[in-house]
Amino acid sequence: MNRLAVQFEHVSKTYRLFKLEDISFSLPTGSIMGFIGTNGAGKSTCIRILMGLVHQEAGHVKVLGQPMPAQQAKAKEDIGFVSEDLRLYKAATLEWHMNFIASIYPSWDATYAKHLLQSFDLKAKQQIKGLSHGQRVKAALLLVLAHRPKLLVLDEPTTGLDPIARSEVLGELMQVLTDEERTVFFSSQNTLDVEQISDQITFINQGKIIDSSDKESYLERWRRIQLEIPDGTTLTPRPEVISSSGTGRLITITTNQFSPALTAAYTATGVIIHAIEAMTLEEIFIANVKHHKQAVSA
Amino acid sequence: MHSNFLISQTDGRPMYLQIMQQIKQHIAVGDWAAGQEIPSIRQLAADLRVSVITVKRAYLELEREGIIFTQHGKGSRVALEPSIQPQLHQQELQTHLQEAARLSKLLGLETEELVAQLRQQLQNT
Amino acid sequence: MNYSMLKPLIQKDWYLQRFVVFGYLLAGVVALVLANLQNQTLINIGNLLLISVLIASGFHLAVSNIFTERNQHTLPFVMSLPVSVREYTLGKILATTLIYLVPWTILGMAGLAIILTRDTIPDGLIPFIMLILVQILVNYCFALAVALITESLYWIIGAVLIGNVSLQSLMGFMMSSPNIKINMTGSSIVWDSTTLLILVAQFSAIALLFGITFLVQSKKTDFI
Repeated sequence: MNRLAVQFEHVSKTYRLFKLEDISFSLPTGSIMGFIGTNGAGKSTCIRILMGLVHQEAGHVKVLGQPMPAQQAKAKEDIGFVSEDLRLYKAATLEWHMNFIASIYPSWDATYAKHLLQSFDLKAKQQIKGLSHGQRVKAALLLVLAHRPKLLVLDEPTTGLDPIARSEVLGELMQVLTDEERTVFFSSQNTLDVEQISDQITFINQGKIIDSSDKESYLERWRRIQLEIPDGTTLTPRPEVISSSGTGRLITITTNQFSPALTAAYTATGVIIHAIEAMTLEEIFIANVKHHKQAVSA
Repeated sequence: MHSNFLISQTDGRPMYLQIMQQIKQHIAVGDWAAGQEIPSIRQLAADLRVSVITVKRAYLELEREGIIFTQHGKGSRVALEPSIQPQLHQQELQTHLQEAARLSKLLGLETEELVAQLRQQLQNT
Repeated sequence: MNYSMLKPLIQKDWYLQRFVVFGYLLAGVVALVLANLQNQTLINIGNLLLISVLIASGFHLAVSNIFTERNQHTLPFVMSLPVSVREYTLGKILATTLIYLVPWTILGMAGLAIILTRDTIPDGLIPFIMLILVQILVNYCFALAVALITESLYWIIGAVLIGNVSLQSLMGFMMSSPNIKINMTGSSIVWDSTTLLILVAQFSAIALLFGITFLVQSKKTDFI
């Protein structure tokens, strides 16, 4: 059994107006990775390279132990893929698609498929043409969930879904992980979802990976600290601080390398710490992108 | 059993702390007896729709505090202590005392003033 | 190559194109009925309709079975299955050709049968008609190749137009060749060296088109 379900090593790809540079990350088997980034950051390109649909120019990609794109057919025997720009055949029914997939994957579980029809509130006999956007997404997810693949690769699985559907989908994804041999890789704009269910978070911005780590320690590194600078003390700039706001005596700083040593350093210089706040993934996302934008233009 | 858990992302505290607190409550209240088996990390994660790594962290911390113990390959159980209630309450007291100390410093209270206020509270309850 | 995926891929295309094939077959049957009547005007209309059906159904299938897979974004769905670009291309070539061969063979055979059974039409026409039928097939394979390689509707239209020009040229060539003209009006079926050479060239063209398509597709690095 492979310890790593996905491995990207120094992957690059150049397009006319966009470049993927030195993309490296790995996803251990049995965990779920949330892949976040702004629109155009390179999420979809990375996912296409992962699926072997686009060839990288440099670097190595291994999915379920198979080198990509060379062994994509073999790898895809155990993969379920849904992306935002993927469509099912409009003229056919959901039932036809289910039979089609069942004829290809021996691991198709008809009972589970029926259960998913119910919880996703879908009718097998309905033509794809007549489905709303949310129903189409759920139909595509049903098709990949029901053959129980070892790896699920999902590009924005909850985008455009109503809260009920989102909750059902997240529930099914977490059910997948009760089997420690199965892995999920998903990209999302929804930082709430990523924060809630991811074990690993990888952050891509303008074609580069800017963070890749396990969620808990990642969230622990980020803090917003409210400081009071009493008369007579000055605030010396520190390398751990990536942004600060406020004027006069009350300053709020944002750090991505929080540690007890940092608070000790502040109090040692006489600066008063009023509050140390954890940040939501959404706040981290915004602070991180802003920070990198400034770093690039500097 | 797990539908009694309420994990909220809008609650200010980190999720692993919320999970820890609710497990402790279940134990303190008597829902889960000493030595009783508790859900596996993956199963609880699926039921709560929370990442496995977060539940793992909660379990690790609980084990460190001696509240649960994990046997390799056999899952996790509530610890066999006679009662962990005093331990839980002691922890809670410490937290509140830390907060009181911090606030009194902000208000600029002398230690005697703080003690006087505490005496007042003890008389009232 | 994993041949096990070819069958589901071909069956899928069959299922999705079944009404297209049925529709054109129906139109083709109407054409054959007209071509088998006594009234010369109606016969001419029937013949024209038959050729139109064979050409139009080819264009339609190249678009509906190949172009729309990209255009309707169902290609990512197919490529998420256990297939590589090579299996996809081979499956597409086979499916799109076999599906077209259904109306082509039925209507073609029926047309030839009419020539054989009617005394007013010389049997010597048979090789001539066969070359036309095969040329239509070659043109279809050309449109199919262009559809797969260029992924563009405009290029497919261009390919169909080029095909029509080549068909007209072939017919013109055969009409102007004195040997063929004599054999055409005769009552016996004659395959002389020229007609045989043309036939060999046509089947070679089909093989070449498929080979080139397969090669070019395998080299694409950004399939989606």
